[in-house]
Amino acid sequence: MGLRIKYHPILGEDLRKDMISIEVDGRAIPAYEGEPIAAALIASDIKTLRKTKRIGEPRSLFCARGVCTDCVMTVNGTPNIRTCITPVEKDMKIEKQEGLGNWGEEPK
Amino acid sequence: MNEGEDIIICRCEEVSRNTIEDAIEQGCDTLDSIKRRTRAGMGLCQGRTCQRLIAGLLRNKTGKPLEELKPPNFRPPFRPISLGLLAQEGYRLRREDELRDGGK
Amino acid sequence: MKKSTDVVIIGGGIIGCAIAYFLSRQIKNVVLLERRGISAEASGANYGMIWVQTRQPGYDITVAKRSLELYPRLISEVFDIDIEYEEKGGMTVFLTELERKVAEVVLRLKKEQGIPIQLLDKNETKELEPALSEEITGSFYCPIDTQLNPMLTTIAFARAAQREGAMIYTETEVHSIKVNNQAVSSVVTNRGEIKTEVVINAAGSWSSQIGEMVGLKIPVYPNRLQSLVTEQTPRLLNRVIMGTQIPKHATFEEAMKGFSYTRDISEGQVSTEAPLYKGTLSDNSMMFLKPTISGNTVCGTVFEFAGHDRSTSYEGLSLIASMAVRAVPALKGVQAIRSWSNFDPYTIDGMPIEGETEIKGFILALGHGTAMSQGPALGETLTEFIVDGKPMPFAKQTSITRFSSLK
Repeated sequence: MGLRIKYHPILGEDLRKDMISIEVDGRAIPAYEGEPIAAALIASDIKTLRKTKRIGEPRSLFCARGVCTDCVMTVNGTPNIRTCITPVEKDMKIEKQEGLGNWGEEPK
Repeated sequence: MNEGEDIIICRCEEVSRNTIEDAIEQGCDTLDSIKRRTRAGMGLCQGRTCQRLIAGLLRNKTGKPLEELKPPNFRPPFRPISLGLLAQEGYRLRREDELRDGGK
Repeated sequence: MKKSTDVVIIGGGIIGCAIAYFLSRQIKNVVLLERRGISAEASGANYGMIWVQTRQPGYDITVAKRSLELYPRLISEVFDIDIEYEEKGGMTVFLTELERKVAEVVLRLKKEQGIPIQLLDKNETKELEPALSEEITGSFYCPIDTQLNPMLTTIAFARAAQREGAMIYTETEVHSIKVNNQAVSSVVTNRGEIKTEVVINAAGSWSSQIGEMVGLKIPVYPNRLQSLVTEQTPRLLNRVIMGTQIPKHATFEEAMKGFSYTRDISEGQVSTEAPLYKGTLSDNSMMFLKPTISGNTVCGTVFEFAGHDRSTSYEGLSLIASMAVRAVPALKGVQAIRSWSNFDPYTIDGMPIEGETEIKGFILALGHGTAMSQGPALGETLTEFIVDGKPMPFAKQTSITRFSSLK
């Protein structure tokens, strides 16, 4: 929880109380429903979100505003989901994306 | 930043600074021709992150002012859109034609 | 820029660059002028098909087969970049019983024309392409068809031409061509004037504008195609897939026409005036799906005459998406990240326009609707014509004089 801002000089106090559980690479982590997936992951010290296709370089947040696509992960079986702008939902399954990711038979 | 160090410029397609500068040295003197030669700007973010960096490299190497460096063509979709969603309108257009033909 | 040269080629697409390569092996001073960049136009936005199965007998099949022979040699001996050449065969898929029935008739015709084509049933088709929909009724498969990256191939030819001594000037626009006593004398560009006695017009769909500069009417028109490019995925398809898009309620004869890969133009338009397609955009759509080495799938297309308007349309892109998703259902969840448009150079009879004109030194090399598989062969034959005076094969069919009665 170290990186979460509990008191913001403009937004004030973080009054959110109830956390849900989401699954990241088989591991359960706490998250606030509706917050960006990447926020929940970084709060749980998960910084590597994917590895690149060509040289396998680890990537994390970069622009953090939905433009650069560095933060994409596979969410509920669908690859290339920008985790910095996609809100957490109950029972979400998130996987670190290796390269292009796994594209299942029946995409969402 | 160290002068000799190679760094990734196009993060999506993993195109390095050296690759881009080689392309410029081999005659690519526009953003469009660099994109075609190196794939920089063809990735998921479609050049949103790297384009201004490449313009800077081009300006540094050729002396062309930034205002003269035209970007590659702007094209839809503005954001990625699934083919399934985009296809809905196509299905509707086809149904219109089939109704017209079937009624011949 | 050079002040004088032996040959000026106008156009940096596959035609211009292939000619530049073959010619500069024999002639010292070849200059290529390109208004934008190498492969910036149609040569950088097509499906890279080196196909024989869709070709007409005569010039068409001969040239396609020759280009098929040339590419492997060029790759191993000449090109210094990877052009992503794949020898996977080519497939035309059928979505209705009617298409499959018509295909049986067309199969015999094509075999007689020397095309090594096979008619596959649904199971055989899905064995080769598991991602295809259950709606598929069968396909044509031609094992000698190949595919490549057209943009990189054009660039590869340009680089090879430069290594042979050709000078390539990009961002260089031709403003006028000086003619003296019915003979070419120089080319005036935005970067200066070049004296030359030979000008090769390889300007694709803009060739008529170049022709006007010497007072020549060239009946070639911009045929706009649109495409969608998807995000990168693991490979869904093994080879380029094409469709026939025969209307659901077509008669047998109408369906046969669907296999001839020609399109109906409006009545009253059968002249050298700009044509217009009959019917709606949906009537003028045909499916192309190209899997690429990089993982993007290129989806096409719709045909329109809209002058040189480069825009893509919601109508066009949605029709393309609907064709793609119908043939390969897994594409439903794949995102489009980019669209293309390009201008195929359309001629009334579908044949290119090549060879001499009444202006001495003004040579035509344009109107190639399947230029990736016509360029290499043309580079060879045009070089032999210019250097040795050897007549080009099929000269009568490709000469501009065939249009004189239409003027």
